[in-house]
Amino acid sequence: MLTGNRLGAAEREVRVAEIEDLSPRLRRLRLLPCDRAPMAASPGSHLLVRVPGTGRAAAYSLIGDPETMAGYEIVVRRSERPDGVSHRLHGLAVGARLSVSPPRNFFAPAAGARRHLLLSAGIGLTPFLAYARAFPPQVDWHLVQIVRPEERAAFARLTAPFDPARITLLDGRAALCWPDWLDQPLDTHLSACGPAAFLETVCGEAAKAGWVPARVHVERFTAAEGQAFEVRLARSGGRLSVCAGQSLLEALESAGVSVAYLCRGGVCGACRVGVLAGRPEHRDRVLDAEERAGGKVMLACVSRARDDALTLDL
Amino acid sequence: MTEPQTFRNALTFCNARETLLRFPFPFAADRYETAANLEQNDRTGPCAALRALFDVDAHYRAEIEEKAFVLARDPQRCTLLPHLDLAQWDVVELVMSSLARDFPQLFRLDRDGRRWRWRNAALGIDQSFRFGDPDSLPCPPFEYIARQTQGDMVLLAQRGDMLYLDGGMLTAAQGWSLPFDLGMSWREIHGEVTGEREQAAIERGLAFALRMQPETQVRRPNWVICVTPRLDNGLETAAEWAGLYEGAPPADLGRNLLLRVEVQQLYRLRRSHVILFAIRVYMARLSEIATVPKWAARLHRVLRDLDPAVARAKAVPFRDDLVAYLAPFDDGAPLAPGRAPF
Repeated sequence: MLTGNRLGAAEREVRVAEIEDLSPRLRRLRLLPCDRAPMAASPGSHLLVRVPGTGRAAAYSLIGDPETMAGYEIVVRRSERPDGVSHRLHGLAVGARLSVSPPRNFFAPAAGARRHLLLSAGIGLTPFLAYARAFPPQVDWHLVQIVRPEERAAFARLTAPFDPARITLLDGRAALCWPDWLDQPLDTHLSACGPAAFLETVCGEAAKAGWVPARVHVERFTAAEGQAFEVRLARSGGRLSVCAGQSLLEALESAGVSVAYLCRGGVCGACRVGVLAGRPEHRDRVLDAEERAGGKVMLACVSRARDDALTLDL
Repeated sequence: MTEPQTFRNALTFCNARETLLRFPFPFAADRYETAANLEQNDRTGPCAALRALFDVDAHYRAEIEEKAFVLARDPQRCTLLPHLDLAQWDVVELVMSSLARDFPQLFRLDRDGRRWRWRNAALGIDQSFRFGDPDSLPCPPFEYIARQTQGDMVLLAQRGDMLYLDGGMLTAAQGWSLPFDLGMSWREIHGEVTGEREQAAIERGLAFALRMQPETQVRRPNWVICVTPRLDNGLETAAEWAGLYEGAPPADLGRNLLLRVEVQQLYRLRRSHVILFAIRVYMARLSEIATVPKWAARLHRVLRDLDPAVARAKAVPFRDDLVAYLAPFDDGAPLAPGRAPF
């Protein structure tokens, strides 16, 4: 396995400036960039965080504007899998160095909404903490947060800075009475973040209650950025992993494989690579129908794998 | 306010040799292809104009004066909807920090938390202000910095899966208008584009822009042939310039026709998530291009062999006369690839 050294062209080094263990499995970290480049980020932004010496990275939402919070603040839930990034992050001490991508935002608050209903489960709360910090006073909002009973105190601590009248903590999903919460003024936008099953329930219940899709917004880290997959490089004989939340192009760059690129958005076609085995999942807007169906070529910046592994002509 | 002359009169606008050689000549090959013209906007490129994000050249003061004149005559050329208040500060940060980094002999930015001090030696400005406090600047923050920047800037706000042109300062538009386009969606702005391929390109551009992140760095050089060195070819003043493109070609083609290059840049602003579209305009007279043998020969080939669909879209004025004018500068020998002058 190649070990990466970059999360893409603009990766930057940070050090852990502050750690707060909110519960046995929830840890808040404040990360401070080692350079002096600008930090500001819009609400809903996330970072890819990579543990040095590994090719592994995971995406974490910022819980507030890094400029006002004096650093990138994230909350990390330690996962069940002992080999994951979250375990490494839970094992770090103040002063440790990490690599992060620049903040990226695919979940900005719905612009123009007069009222927001925010529904989150567990760690899905994090982007909404940034929303709550950024909403101007004239915007009406309410947050419904599902918690495990043993983590209620941790989440209460994270939501403590805000008007308690705008926050509802519920013990477990069963405590959420959908018809009541979805009975909102017509101009309300609903945003949800949490595990995939929770988001499916949100979309299903909202549709049942007559919400139009344009008023329902969900952050699906794994669906937006895709599942992890493995890559074999036929010519160099290398192997690498593309994490969830990381693009193939970023993973190749991490592994020191140089690929031409321009737009990094699936539009220009510069990062076209040949596929020798495995089925690519095309997400670009460049390839024609024949190339798509053929599956012998893909754009590394946006496209992913439909199988667990791809073999590339690199 | 007296009318500034530099960009109004073909006889006063000219490029010194040094300025000409930093011109972002747009053609890397003898044939012009519309498809592949997105490039990395990373302060690198074949000419000095592309090695700064917000480029400053010898025309800086004249262009700033021209901009002030257009704004004095028509204040609507700078309009922003109120929801862009935060984006205005994003632009202040992006432009000031870029200018100070790229042209340290002219600009200096000192930041101490929210206490900022901005010095612009080219215009004799020394301004201390509080970042985020509009009352600490003599005019709204976007207008303040846009008035000190060469080129135009418009702001595109994202709502749902669409971008809307909700503000900007447009004093050097080529055939469009900010008050007319204000509030329009991406598709409406491009409404005049009708070809199937071109429409597909508009949709690709939208899909790309919607996913753009602050780290995304792209620019696109665009070009057109002009019959006047006017910067302001906005719809508002069409009565003043549209007639120049009709009738007989001007007597001295080399002097009166210009290659106008718009270096268009897209930025996703950090705080507001708004998109800044910056358009930096460069012009060179044909007689100036003719002094750079590689450029003259290449421009000759590009204009002579334009694809008919592209020729229609570009509406090159007096094209046959122009090709005839450039022909003596082209001996048909192979030219070095790339856009650099030599």
